[in-house]
Amino acid sequence: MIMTEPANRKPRDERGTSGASEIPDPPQPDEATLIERARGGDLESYDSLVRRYQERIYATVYHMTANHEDASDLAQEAFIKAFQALKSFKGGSSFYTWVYRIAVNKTINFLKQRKNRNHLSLDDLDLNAEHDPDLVALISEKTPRREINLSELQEKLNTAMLKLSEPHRLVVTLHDVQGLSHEDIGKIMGCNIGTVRSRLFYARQQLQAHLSDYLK
Amino acid sequence: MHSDRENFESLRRLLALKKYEQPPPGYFDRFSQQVIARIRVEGVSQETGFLQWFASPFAWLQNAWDALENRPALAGVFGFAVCGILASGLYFSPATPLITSVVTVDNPLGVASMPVSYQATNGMSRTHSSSIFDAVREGSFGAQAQMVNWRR
Repeated sequence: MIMTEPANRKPRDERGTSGASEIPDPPQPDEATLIERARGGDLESYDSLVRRYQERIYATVYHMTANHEDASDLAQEAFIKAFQALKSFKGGSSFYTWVYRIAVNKTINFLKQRKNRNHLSLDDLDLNAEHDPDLVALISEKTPRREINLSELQEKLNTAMLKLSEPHRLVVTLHDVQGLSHEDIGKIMGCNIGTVRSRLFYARQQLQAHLSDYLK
Repeated sequence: MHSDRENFESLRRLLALKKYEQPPPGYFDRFSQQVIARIRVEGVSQETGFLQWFASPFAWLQNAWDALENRPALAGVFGFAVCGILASGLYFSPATPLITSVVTVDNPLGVASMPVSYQATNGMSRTHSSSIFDAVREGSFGAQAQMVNWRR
């Protein structure tokens, strides 16, 4: 791949080193500073905050809805609502836990209204999925239906996820897909760790039952 | 706990598939820009929202008027109801005591006869004066009289 140099970069000096590389990038302001500036209406600072958490927030909402368009709208609305409510953010929890909570509440409200209208609009699988050793092992060795391809498996998995109740789907998404700790999940969901564990156990049992054909 | 982990090992592997679900390329490059653009639009709409809020008390009046305009029968009933309310209001309103005195001015020049009404202070009925000058002399008007030469 040929890398092109941006037009605004300084020309190389006589020693062949880039002039721009000598000037270190300005340090990125910490989260508290960005929040403070965004509170004052600085949209550039808020843009930085959005960039930090956009992928995680989108992924959570997407795994809850199994619909790209809905997830896109809800994730954007969550960030917009967070900006509007920024003055009420006391800093008792971390910003990302707070935004997560807004996104999760919005998503759950949305799903309650959308009941029985589950239309899948799944994101494409990354090409690296074919090389994931866990998935390769799952398909080639343990799955009795070996002819199934990854896309079909993805659809079956999402359909099974949608059969779970919202709190159970959320706990599986946050723990097993996103890798959050029980403690963080408890903060986001507003419940204690014991509840998180029991919901996780029940949700896994349910998923295993729904996907038994693919897990033996 | 360990057995739980083993029980769900296959499920955990299958759930790994979800990590590979990715939105279209470049989606996250535009995401924050779209959020900021929407915040700007919402900000503008909030400012115009104030004007809408200010005008909203008149909006329902306009809607009501439109509704009545399209339904003559309803407009008639509404008009009748309003008249009824007004009439019953007049009928049932308590009568306020209004004590008046009529003062007849004896016109020495024979120009015009002017009946003068005024409400007695403190609800007390005033004695009739035969002349407005008598009333002025008694000081019941609280005004000063000036002599006018009518012949000029």
